[in-house]
Amino acid sequence: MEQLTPPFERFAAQILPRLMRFADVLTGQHQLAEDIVQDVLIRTQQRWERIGSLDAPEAYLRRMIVNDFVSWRRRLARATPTVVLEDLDVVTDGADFATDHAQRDELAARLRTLPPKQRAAIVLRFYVGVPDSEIAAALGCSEGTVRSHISRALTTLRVVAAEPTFSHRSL
Amino acid sequence: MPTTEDLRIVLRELECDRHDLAAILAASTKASHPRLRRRQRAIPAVAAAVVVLLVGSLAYVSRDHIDSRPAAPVGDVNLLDRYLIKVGAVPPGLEFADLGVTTTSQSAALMNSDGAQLVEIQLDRINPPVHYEPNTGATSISVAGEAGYDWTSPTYDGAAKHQDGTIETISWVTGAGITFRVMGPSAPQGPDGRSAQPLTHAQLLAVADSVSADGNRPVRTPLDVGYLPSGYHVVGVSTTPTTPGQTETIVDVVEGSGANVALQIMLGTDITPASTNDRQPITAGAFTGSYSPSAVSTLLSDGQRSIEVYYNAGELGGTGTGTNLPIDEITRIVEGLRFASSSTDSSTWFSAADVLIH
Repeated sequence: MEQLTPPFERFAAQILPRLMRFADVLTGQHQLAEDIVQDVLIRTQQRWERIGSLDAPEAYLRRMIVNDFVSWRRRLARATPTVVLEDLDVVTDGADFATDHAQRDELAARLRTLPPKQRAAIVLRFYVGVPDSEIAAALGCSEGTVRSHISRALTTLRVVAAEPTFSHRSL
Repeated sequence: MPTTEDLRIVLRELECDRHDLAAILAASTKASHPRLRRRQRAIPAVAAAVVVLLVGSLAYVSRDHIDSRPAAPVGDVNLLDRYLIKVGAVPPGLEFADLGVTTTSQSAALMNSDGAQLVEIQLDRINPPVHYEPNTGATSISVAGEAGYDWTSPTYDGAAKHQDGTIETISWVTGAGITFRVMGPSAPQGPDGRSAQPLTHAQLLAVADSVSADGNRPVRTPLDVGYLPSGYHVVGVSTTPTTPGQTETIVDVVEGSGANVALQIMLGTDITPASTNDRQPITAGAFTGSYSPSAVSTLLSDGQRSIEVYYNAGELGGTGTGTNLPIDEITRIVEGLRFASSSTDSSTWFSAADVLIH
């Protein structure tokens, strides 16, 4: 009889590279990213029968990673992120390499100062590219709060929004 | 000025391909992994402890006892209420605004009349500041590692303020072990996208010089939470200006030591509730968003403000479960909300004389 739920090992091997990249960007700390992903996979294995039957198990795992990242217990045990600027291999169109480099270095530095929820919202919106409804689900808040997080984060990052960042439902 | 496309590039550059994926996979899929063994040992122990606690508590806790417990105003519940950001020198034309307070941090801003944040000020009891290295001109992280950070380290003892020339952030750690960061956007924008004249470097320094922790002021929140079910407590309050004249105050509530926000109480100004029930009593409405299965909302008598209570009725990602609170408990929470009446601070967002309609 064909198994309806794919084996956990096959699923984990398939999504692990993507999850690691997501966790890297989310946390800014390679070691913490590994720690969180490993922990999430262990918990997933324990409840694979249920999680594996979900429509979008990868999105669910992403939520688990976000939850771990913003959780109070981890925040209490975490210092400022430690990605060093030398790790950044800046890509530019060559128009003004020095300016672009400095600008993105500044951006990366400001990114490290964001509170976890704001950073998570930014990563989910601009790296993963999911809609506000999914960000809200991942962060456990309303869509209005997501937009507030992103608006505040963009202000801190001093980034010019190329698209609307706040569009409250009643406006 | 960087754009969101630059932001996407920076985020992609944070990807790392140096992980040993095979090792992570092996550790995650083997039941014999030490972390899993610890978890398996811990679960029966925790379960046993919970049983003991429950049995012990049953003798003391009855429904009547829970219902009659005293109100728990937000400011008294496990919040950062000793150290509050105080700005002694607010530049002309700007206003001080509290943005949020949690158990470990507080943030505030100086805003112009359009709602543009020209300065953001953070108070942090956990994270040390990003540190500027004057000798190399590089930005580095001042403290590496997670454990054993010594707040009394001579490097950061006292109130020596440190200018980070790279990101226009001035950060320092006080002798009391709290970190301040003062950040001045180079090209601030209001919520409506209009640009604002940024502060000069000298103005930013003057603001930083006047920042202090004022332990005498109460936490300024517009809401008192008069009732929470047993085991629930407030972990954070934030008030965010959204567009000019509009704000959202969000009260986050967790159950026990849970990491997930179990309840979120939102007070919005000039905002229509998600569940449209114009001037009607509190009702349970079908929340049209995808965040949670349920929300309760009510529009205040002035027609300009609304209160919404979002609650998770299901699991949120594996680190805990939702509240599963019955609707009558949610309703009691909403009915227990009051505008803070004890604070006479003029910067309190809302008039304490207002009351909810039920």
